[in-house]
Amino acid sequence: MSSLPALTHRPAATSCAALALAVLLAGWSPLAASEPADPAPSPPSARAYPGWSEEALRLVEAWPVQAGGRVKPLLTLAGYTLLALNGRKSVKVIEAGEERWIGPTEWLLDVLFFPDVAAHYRIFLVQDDATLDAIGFTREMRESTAAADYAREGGGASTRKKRDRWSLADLAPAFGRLQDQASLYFDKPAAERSRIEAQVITLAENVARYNQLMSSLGLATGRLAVPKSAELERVLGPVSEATFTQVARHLDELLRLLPPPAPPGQKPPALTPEQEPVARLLEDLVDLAGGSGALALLPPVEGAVAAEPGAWLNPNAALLAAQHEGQVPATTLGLLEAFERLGSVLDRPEESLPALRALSSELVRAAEARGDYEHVALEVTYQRLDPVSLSWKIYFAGLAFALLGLLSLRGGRLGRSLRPLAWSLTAAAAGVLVVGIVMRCIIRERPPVTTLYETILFITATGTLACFVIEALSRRWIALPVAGAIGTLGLLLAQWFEGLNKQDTMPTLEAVLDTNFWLSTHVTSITFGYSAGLLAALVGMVYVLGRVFGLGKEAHDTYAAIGRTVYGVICFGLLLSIVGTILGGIWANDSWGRFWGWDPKENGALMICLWELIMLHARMGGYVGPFGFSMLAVAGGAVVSWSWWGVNQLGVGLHSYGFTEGIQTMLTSIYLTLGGVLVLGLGWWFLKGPGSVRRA
Amino acid sequence: MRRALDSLVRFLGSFGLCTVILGLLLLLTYFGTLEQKFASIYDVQKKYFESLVLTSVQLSASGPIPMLLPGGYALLTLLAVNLLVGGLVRLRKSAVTLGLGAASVVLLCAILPHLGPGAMFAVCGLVIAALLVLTGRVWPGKDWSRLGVLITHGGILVLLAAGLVEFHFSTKGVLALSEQDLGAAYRRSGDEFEAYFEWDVIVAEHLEEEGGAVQERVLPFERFEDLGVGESVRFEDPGLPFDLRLSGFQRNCVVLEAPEGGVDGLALRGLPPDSAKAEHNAPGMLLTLVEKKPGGRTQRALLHGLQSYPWRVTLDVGGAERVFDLDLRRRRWAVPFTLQLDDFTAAYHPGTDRPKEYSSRVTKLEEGSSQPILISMNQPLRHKGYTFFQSDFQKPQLRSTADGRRVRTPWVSIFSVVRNPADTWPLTACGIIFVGLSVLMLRKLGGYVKAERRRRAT
Repeated sequence: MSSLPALTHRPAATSCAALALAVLLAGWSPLAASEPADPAPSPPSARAYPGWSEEALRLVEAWPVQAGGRVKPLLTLAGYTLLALNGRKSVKVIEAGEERWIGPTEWLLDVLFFPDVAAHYRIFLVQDDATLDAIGFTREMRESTAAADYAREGGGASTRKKRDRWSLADLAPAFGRLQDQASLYFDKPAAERSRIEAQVITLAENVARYNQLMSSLGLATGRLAVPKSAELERVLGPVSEATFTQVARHLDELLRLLPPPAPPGQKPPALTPEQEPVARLLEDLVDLAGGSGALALLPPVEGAVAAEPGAWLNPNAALLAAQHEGQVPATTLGLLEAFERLGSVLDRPEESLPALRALSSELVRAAEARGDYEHVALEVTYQRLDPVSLSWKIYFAGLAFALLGLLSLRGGRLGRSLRPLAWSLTAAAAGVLVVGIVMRCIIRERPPVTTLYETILFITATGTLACFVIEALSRRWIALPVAGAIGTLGLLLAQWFEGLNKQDTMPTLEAVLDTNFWLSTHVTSITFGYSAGLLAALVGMVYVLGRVFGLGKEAHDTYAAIGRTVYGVICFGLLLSIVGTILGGIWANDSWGRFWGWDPKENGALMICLWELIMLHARMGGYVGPFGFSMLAVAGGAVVSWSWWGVNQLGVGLHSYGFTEGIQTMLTSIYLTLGGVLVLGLGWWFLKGPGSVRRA
Repeated sequence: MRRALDSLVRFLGSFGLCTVILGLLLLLTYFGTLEQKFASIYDVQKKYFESLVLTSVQLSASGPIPMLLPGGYALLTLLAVNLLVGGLVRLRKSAVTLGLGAASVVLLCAILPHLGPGAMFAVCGLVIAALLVLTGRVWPGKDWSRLGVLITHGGILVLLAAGLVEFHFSTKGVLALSEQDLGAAYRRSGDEFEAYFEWDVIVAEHLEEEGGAVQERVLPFERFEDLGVGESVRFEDPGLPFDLRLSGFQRNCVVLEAPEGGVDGLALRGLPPDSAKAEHNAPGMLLTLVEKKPGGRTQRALLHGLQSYPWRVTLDVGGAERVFDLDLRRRRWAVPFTLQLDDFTAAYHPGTDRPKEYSSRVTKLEEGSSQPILISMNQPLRHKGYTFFQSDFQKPQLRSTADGRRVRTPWVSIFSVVRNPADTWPLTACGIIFVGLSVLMLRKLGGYVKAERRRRAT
């Protein structure tokens, strides 16, 4: 984040079209309502809102769009944009008192083609209404806005909570103050901003992002008024109104009618009365092209100058490129015309669907021709399947039945009959997760772990699979509930982290990570090591808590087996952690020129190795028995958590993935939980007398 | 005496000592990580991991707290002793295990350095399989649990040795090459590299009779890097007509005007060491030159790391004029070949400022032959014991030249250069540890599965 995007900036009137095009570089807002001087809501659309058919949604969600350096389906982009603004990937809409949930694609289509309908969707999540006070959107204003919304929607809640969602139209009266306050706070160093100040900045960024998004396809429905002028009539014909492409097609001729742009730093040349209408029309053209941050839906044209290699364009960027080229390339114009055709028939579903089909196939064909569409369809399937949230629900069901199944430890028939069900559910959940991970690998053409988010999925999957192996070997009915717990907790963590991070979980990778060999060896084995350390901590917890609460007092054999399991998991964890850590050093030696640099993430990995070595040597030296070893494994959970998440919070070093607010809270609660178990264990140990614990 | 020696050996090789050393290492690593919020990684490394003992740790912004801890160097040395002694104590009784383990370690040390990572894993897999078959079929029934342990510890020793050799015998520095030659600051080719942290005082004498040749004498960084306030160091050389005294050394400082006091109206103002990157520190010092001849003059000057020209001293020695340049500059090491930059590429993911790839096409010039080479992230050039890594770059920018012209500087590609005799040892150690731990774990797993099966059968 280097600068704050302008929230309400309209192109200034310029006398030269070249300069007018340059205005594209600045932000742009199509919302008249966003002008501080004119807080009136935009007039309702003349077009009827027909809604979107299932087929239309299926077509649009697979549109290729470039964002964050890669081509992805529109569904992905819409989902993460909505997550960032709304805190979830769906929108609650209330019409005539009826609640309805719409998905990201439908929401984005409304934002693009029916902005005045979408402006009333409450999608700006405000965590604390003190943020709204800070931008002058007072309690009274909020109350009357809420009452007006309630009357319009004919239902829902008539008041708003402290943490609530607001629509673009709701916030419109406060835009001026929002922009001012956000700029003010933005100039402060990030560490010195208060929570509310940071939230004001976030809200301003979200509104700016929304405005950029909304401007993306304004040209599909907008029309340009053609001023009366002999020059324009000669170029465009005798028309009073024109579409974007009708004007853009003649860009070179129109630009030739104007004086050449002045050199930088000099006053632009004065325009003659004949040139003024041309300049005005070109300004409107720029206006209609949308913002520089609009959706990049147009594949680049090979050989075009001024375009970054491989960078897709939005209409704004296409116009900017055309300024150098002389004209907008024919293929780009063709696509823009298809958007306009769709825009002209939107209110007639029987015509809009064929237009949408034609447009979609053109977009897909253009992306395929560049080789950019290879995994888009698979990614749509991934996003629709949402394996992470599907899997955790199944894991949870598996966990519930596995816990019920524990009843059979004492020979209960009910418990025993639940076992196959628990097994199948947990296995199915793991299967869904593994399929999800494999899909991600195919889409990204990468090994399974490249980001912090993916470590969660991988650790969950491998942790459960390890439990299956343990259960298959020992048949003691302990590892299966642990598998369910790992699956449920792990995937809830993944979803929570995704919501916290609010970004595409399949980002492009930094230069140093561009090596599938090291990603698949070092990163995978280190992550396996984390997984083993956490699994050992969980099984250790089962041992310690079981002892403390006196569960199955007579089942010495079972406790011995749990103890052996902790030991075995730690042994394999150590193998993977040590090999992974050294491989990391070798990778570092190849990319940064040193094997070991005492970087925080390296130190974290080393600490896991050291802790597990301490455990094994303490056990071999006879300093700890199964109980002590399990206690050490529980403490090891804290070492792994610190290495996995904690070091990132330091904000230093080469592996720093950025401080994320909220993670510290999660870490603290993990430390407290582990600490609580350790305190209970120690208390029990003292009460029982160390000797008797060892004999047990 | 014998008993005392025995108990010393037992103590040095004990699991208890091992656990304590590992525990202290863990603590040291944790504190050393936290302190990186407040000090550069170079300083933290020196204080925690390259030291014998440390007396304070800084865990929060409120400042250091006193704490006596053994340093990383001491702990790792002790760990190596513990490992060797412990291994010998425990393995006295099983010569076959010792022999087989040592043979495996030696074999792997001999083979692995010559393999790529892929082939390495294959060889390791083969050795694991061979050891499991040998100990299961050829000598069945014997307690082989120590074999894996022994091999693993052999690998750890190799790793520790790699660390020791790197610490004492490696050199690290930087070489910046530009796409075009432009003045003295931008050079397309180079055959030496510059240190990140070490600064030497150079006494360069211009030898008139040898056609402008320069003879350099070096006062090495190690002689003055730890000088405290008020301390000084003397530099005497029989070939020089003067002695040098170096004092007031500052690790990081700026030059300020000082109309009163100071040297030639200038003074050094000390700054705290750069907390992010120690290579940004610019040292300075006061140099006092005392002529050896009776009644010779004493001259003083400030030297600063960023000054653009040396201190020139012209002396009359026995009727002849001798010219010396005294300079404080980063240490330089020669490379036995020349690298020339042909082209540098920085690619970004389209539409973003996220770097996708950096790479440099260079030509290696050596004894009349030339060879084109591509150096990129994760793909360094290794040649004659030197390794060149793509580490950074500079974009072209507009600069004013001395004669007032505005010129666009060329792209500059920056390489880290390392000469480390133990460069490939960690990979070997990794292979050995992998073999050792795998043998150990697979044996244990086998035993566990067998026991569980027996339990279920009864």
